[in-house]
Amino acid sequence: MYIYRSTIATLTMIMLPVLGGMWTLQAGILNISQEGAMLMAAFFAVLGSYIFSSFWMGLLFAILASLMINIIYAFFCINLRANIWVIGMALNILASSLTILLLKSVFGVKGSFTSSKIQQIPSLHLGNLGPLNAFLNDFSLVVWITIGLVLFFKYVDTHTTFGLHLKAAGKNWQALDTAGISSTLIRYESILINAVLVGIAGAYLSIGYLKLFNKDMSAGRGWIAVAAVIFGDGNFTWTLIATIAFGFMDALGISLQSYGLNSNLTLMFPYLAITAALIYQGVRSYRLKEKG
Amino acid sequence: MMERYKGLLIITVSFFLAIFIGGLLMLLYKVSPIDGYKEMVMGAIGNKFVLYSTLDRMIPILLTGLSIAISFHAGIWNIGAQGQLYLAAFVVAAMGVTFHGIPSMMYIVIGVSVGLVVGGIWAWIPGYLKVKYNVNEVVLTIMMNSIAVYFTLYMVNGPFRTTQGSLGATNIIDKGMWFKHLNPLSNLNTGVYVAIVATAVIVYLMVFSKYGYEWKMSRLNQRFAVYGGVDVKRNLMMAMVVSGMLAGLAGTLLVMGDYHRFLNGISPGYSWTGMILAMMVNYDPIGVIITSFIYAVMASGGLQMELMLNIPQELVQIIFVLSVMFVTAGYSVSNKMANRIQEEG
Repeated sequence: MYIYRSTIATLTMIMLPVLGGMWTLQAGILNISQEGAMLMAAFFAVLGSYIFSSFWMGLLFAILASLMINIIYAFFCINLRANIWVIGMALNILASSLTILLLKSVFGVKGSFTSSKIQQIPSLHLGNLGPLNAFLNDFSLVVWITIGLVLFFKYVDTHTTFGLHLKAAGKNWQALDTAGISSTLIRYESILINAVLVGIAGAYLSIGYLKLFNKDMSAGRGWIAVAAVIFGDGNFTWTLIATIAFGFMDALGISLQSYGLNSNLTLMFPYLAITAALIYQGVRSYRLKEKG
Repeated sequence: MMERYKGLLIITVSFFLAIFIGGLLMLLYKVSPIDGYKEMVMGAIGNKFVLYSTLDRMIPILLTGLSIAISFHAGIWNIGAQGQLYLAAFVVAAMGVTFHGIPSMMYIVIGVSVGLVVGGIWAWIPGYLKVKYNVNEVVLTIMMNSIAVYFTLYMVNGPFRTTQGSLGATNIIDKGMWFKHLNPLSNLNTGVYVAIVATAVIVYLMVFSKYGYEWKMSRLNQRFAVYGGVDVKRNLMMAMVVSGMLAGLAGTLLVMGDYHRFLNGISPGYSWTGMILAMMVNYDPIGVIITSFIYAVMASGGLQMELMLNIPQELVQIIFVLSVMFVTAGYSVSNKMANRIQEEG
């Protein structure tokens, strides 16, 4: 049961940047700055929640911080046509350094900050559900928001013109522009939506089930999300499958650790799985091409 | 040639602009920028000892920077320097604590060779998969970074854990494998000569040999390169393996020279810094040498600045990121202007 609940928590954290990142990829921009945006959001969630003693303000601050990183990324990648790796990595380094600098300057601490004034994002208690208690009760609000978002994204992806425009902006932007729809605008929209989702994910990281900011606490979750997005290559179903698999592996690694197994070996699992999946995918499509 | 001067101009202007904004940020801490930067520079090159430390800090950044420069220059995106560095460093350290009694000169040669080979192999795998099966080498190398880092962390917390204390590290390696420290106050060691030789080889390969040109052709226009009789696949593989070897060498020197053991967090982001520096100077090896020195001065001076003036040393990273952004924006704007001039002419 513990593993079920921790998988849900990890999945939520990865799912949000995956959904956002999938759309930016469909629109033609792989978002490398997820890790940094998530970290910034986590810090600002703590800051907002600490100042106002309100998780709503924490969420708002987190989303604004994530927007800042994403807008810089979008401006450089869309308007200036910069290399995504330079700007993405620079922003990740910026987020890591800036949060440590702010920890030192605002809170006067090194490494980690916590306070009883921070308000957590509440969990939903649905009353007594009998045998379903452990399955459904007391999950964070963010978990339910995420489940709603997955369904919403699935609907938009397959049933609306916006979903179509996204793919057109990625696959054939000239055609989209000719049809009178600005591909730049569509790309910006996808990045802004992504920013909001990553902001929520960051807030969930720091004030979702903790009241704490640790330096570099995103700990590669943003990267796992990027990997899942790349693996899914814009396809909703495959992206979802990859995310669930990676989320489970990550949670499994952390739970095995509590049974005294060396956690580092188990934390290697999701990366091994992704590597194996990528190699399989590559070799398979190579074989198919050779046959066809 | 014009292209080169333009790049130089953009980088210089961006750097000073970032320094200027960094100065404004120092004012927020009620410190005069002149004092701040003076403390930074003095703390990095003010006397022989701090200069040695600065040079020591420069070596891994220089080597990983060159590693990235050579692979990106050829158009194969090795983001995996971190993993190559960690794995090579660990294997060398594991060898150093296991085998004893090998004559020193021989042991050093063996150690460096093993580091080069391990780094090379860890880069060869994604390189081969890219060239043969067209697997995305960017994602692959990122994943292999995490695999290597977690694997080595497991080893130093498990089978190879130190028996002296509870540090996340291996035991001290056999003395025969040590590069001796040049003075007791800094970690700079005789391994610096190896780094100089490696740098010279890379500068030769990239600037003076035919490979430099062929690599560039492969990146800019693969079809043209093939048409011109360049074996693109072999060139890509070679760039990738050399790139991995350099990253491996960086790790090897950290183990055999600086710490004489492998430890957790042996490379705090050296490879990412190296990558950004390499991209900033457009994969020019000479540019990497200069910028990695400037970066090392700022980074080791930043510590002094924090100690003396109470400005967080992370400010240095922020100045660094700002200059990266200015350079990127500068290139982009100048390219747009160049296109416009061409269209009008």
